[in-house]
Amino acid sequence: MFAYDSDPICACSTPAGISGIAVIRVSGDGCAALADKCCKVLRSSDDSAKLSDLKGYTCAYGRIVNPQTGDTADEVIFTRFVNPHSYTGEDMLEISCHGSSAVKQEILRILGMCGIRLAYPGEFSRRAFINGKMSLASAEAVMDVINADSDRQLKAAGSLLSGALSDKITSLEDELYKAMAIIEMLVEFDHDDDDTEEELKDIGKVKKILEEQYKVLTELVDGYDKGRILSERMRVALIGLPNSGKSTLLNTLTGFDRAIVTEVAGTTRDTIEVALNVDGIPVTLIDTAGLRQTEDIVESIGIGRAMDAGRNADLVFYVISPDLSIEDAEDGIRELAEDIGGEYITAVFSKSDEGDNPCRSRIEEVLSDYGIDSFISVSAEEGINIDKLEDVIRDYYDSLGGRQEEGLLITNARHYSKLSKALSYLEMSYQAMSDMRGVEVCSSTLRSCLDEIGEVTGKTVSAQLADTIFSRFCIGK
Amino acid sequence: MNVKEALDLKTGYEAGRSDVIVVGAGHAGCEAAHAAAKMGLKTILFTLSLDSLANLPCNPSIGGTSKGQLVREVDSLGGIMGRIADKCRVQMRMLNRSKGPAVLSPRAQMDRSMYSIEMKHALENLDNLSIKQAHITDLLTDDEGRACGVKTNGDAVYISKAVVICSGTYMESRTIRGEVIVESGPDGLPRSEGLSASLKELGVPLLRFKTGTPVRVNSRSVDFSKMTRQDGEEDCPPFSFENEMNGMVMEPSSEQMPCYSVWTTDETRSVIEDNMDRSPLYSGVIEGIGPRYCPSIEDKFMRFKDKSRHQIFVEPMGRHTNEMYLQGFSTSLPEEIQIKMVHSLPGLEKAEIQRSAYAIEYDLVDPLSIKATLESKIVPGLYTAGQINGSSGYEEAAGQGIVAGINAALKVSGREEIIIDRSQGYIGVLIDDLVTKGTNEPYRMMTSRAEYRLFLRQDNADLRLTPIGYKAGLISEERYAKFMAKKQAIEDEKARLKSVFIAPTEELGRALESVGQTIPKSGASLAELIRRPGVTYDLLAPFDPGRPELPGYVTKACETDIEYEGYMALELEKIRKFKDLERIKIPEDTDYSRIRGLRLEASQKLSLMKPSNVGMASRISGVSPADCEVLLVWLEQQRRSRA
Repeated sequence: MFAYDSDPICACSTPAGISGIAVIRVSGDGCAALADKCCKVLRSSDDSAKLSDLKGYTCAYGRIVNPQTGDTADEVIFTRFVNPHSYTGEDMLEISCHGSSAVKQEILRILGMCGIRLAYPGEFSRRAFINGKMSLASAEAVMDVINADSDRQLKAAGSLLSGALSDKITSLEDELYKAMAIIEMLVEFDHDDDDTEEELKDIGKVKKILEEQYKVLTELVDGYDKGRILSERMRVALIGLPNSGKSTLLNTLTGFDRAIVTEVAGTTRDTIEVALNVDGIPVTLIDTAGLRQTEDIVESIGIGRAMDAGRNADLVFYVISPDLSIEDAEDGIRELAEDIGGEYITAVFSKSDEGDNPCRSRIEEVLSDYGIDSFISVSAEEGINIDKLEDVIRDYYDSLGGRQEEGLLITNARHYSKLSKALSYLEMSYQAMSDMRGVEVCSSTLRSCLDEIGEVTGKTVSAQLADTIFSRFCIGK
Repeated sequence: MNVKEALDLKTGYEAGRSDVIVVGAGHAGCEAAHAAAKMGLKTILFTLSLDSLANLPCNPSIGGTSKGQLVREVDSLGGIMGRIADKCRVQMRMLNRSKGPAVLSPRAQMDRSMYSIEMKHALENLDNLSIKQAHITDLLTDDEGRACGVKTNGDAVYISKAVVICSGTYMESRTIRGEVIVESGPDGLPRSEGLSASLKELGVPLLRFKTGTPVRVNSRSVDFSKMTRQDGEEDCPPFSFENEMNGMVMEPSSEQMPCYSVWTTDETRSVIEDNMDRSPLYSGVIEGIGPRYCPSIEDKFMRFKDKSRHQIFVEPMGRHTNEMYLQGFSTSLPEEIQIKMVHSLPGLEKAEIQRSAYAIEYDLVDPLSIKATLESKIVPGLYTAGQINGSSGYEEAAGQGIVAGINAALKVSGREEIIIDRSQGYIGVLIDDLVTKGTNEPYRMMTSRAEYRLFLRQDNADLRLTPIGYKAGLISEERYAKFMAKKQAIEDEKARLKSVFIAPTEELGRALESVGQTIPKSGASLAELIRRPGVTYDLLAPFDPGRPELPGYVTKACETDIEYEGYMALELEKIRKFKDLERIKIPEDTDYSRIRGLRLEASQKLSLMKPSNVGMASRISGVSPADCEVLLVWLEQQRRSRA
């Protein structure tokens, strides 16, 4: 259904693809208060603690935090605009975030959790125009853009919803229509008093379908994180002090000399990204500058990027050379472990062919205080235990979401937001059925559920329902 | 035909003048004429047969799921169907009692002859209305192409400011029984000739549909002991809210007439299968498109092979006749096969057939050429209602009839016309579906077609629509005062239920346990308790000593509103959003081809359909959300350039 309303909306305003930074725009009166749920202000020009307290035209530095898990998605700069002094003429926020599409999608998803929906094509421009923020002359340009945007979005969505995933959602949809048709038949053609047994059987059928499809939809929605990796690639960062063997490890894992390996500490001054496949899982391996205090400006920028790479990664391999001291080992990972959590970090003792680190057991003890409990000893030179690193990658991937086959994963933030809404309606519907409320309530919430799914598949309830009823049932006047 | 041309005919003469002319006196025509006359306009109602006004040529019942809601909506607007049905009912039932208040639907069996007689008499006694028997063959237009009258087959010319055509299944109709095809209207009545050609000449697009009706048998030849008996119910409200507020009650069950049901047998099936080659549906004789929801019995067997039997209802046609109607047994097979089919049913082995079944084909107007006011987009001043717009059913016809009558009257009086939207009533859903989506089969109302079903209930039809009827001038001051008092009583009682708290006593615990609920830990308001599944207003009577004396329809409304408050809130939020779009009007003379950024398909569809607001535009197939965004920007551009 066409959703014209004044609800808060969000969208990424910078072009698709990877860039240094990106800007996500949020518009709608009262949007700052909704965004407070996931936007944590750390420092602001006027010492406001919340976005909604921030004055118009001022900025704040802070984090986007998933309100359900408490995880940080990105560190960002917020800019607040107050109605009517903004692009659209409504209250607005601009979130300057990191430019990877994974980060952008995650932020949009989190905003969705807070009640800020994704914008439709041209919606920002249309609001700007209707609120008198654009001159009359610009109207035609706005109209031109709307359909062009919509075509682009359709193409993007089409490529994302194809094959097995499309089949799965279609079959889910079909089943729910079947359930709804049964309910509607009960309503439309009231059985005789002596047919209550028949009715109970029908209600049992509906309950069964709802229960089964609830599982299917839950799996689909939970699979989003995993799907995101499939479309975005999983990011694994190699972090460590200078000359700990990160680049050698990268070369071994990828199988060719991508990073320049020298014995001069600090060779990798910038981050290097290499794509590889681990058992079909697309992975981006990121080699980073060694972490150390340095006077070299270029190198210090590289170190800053290394920390960012670690924060934005799905997994971190913390590489420890045989000669690293306990203190340095702790200093090197402390900040990152506190930021992203030790469970995403694997300690890799490198160069095992040169002998074990003499303090290994003490180092493990210290690291476990930070929640790091995965330790592997490898030799890139002799290829020892490299497969164990691959196991870590695969285990992490398997731990995400349901256990679906490839191609059955939602990868698009719009689909995710629609399907998770559908899921909550489906739950209400099932609840109404279990509470023995009238079947009408079950049907009303099921209709809302199908409305949401329809926004992914393009079907509209009224047309679809009549067809389902007529083709499945023989009915009289 | 131009009106001057008609008057210039050798036998042409001016026979009368009025404000509104209604052609066809079925359920749509009677409502339209009643509304226009009640609103003070001089009205003429034409019928092919004065003895068949408001005929029930198919099932002898009014109401049913979604149809019962429609009848109550027509009554809420000030219509007449509910009041006549309350007078002529011989059995009444409330359907869907176990499925929740939103889908409760009243249905009544009618005394078919009485219905026609009562309707005719009520209309004859109405000021401003004349009823005439005549065969209308032409719609007349003035030099600007506006509808301005009609001409009979005797060249009598009647002049008016608006014309409402409610031709039912009569235009160029033919009935079909196997190989026997007769140019006839339903029930052996004359068909309407010439009128559809006259519409076509004016550029109105036509379609051809098909429907059918089953056999009638003499009850003296039926063995009811082999059937399941179904009696009427006593605790049913009348259709008319006015009657309900005046305390009208249903006759005791024992005084109501029973219905019966039987199942088809293997023999029925084999008779049909053996004779399918003689079915005009399958041999291609019938060109019209038939309804999927009301298939003929042969259709049921052919399409649903997994079902070995189908249920048939045997219903009385009235108190002064032995005729019984076989619901669910419509067929277009030849008469001799029909006899074998009927005799294969339990209890009907020796049944004497009084009228045989037939299929009927008829001309209609493509509803996509009609506005939501039911005025034609092609001929200004022409309104259509009922089966001519592609619907099916008496109640659907009445719902459109009253809207067409009100709007014709409003237009003639220079007042703004009304549109009932999808959130206000089933009437709105019905009309909106027809005019924005069109239909390729006779359109039957179903509750599932309404997206705001929890809100569109039979018990609150007056709350939704009576203010509209009052504003139009169809509701008397006396009735309106009673309505306002009822509305206030519901609000007051709901507020009281929310503010009265009761203690968790043992007695309360026992009462709650009896419906499977546990006792609340601390005091709870009456409203909180009613919200729990199974807890009713009546159950809490012993714990609510301060309860005022209120009629059942008030307490029931409170109970329903409270129980469904949460779900209703979701629906009301959707309605709010829906209304936002519905409010944004599109000028009628919009040239869509000049709007930049609209896709070609959308521009063509919009030019053809001329939606009156952005909400309607958004429901037209082929118009995307992006097209609607473009439209919104364009409308704002127009508004600003005018300012």
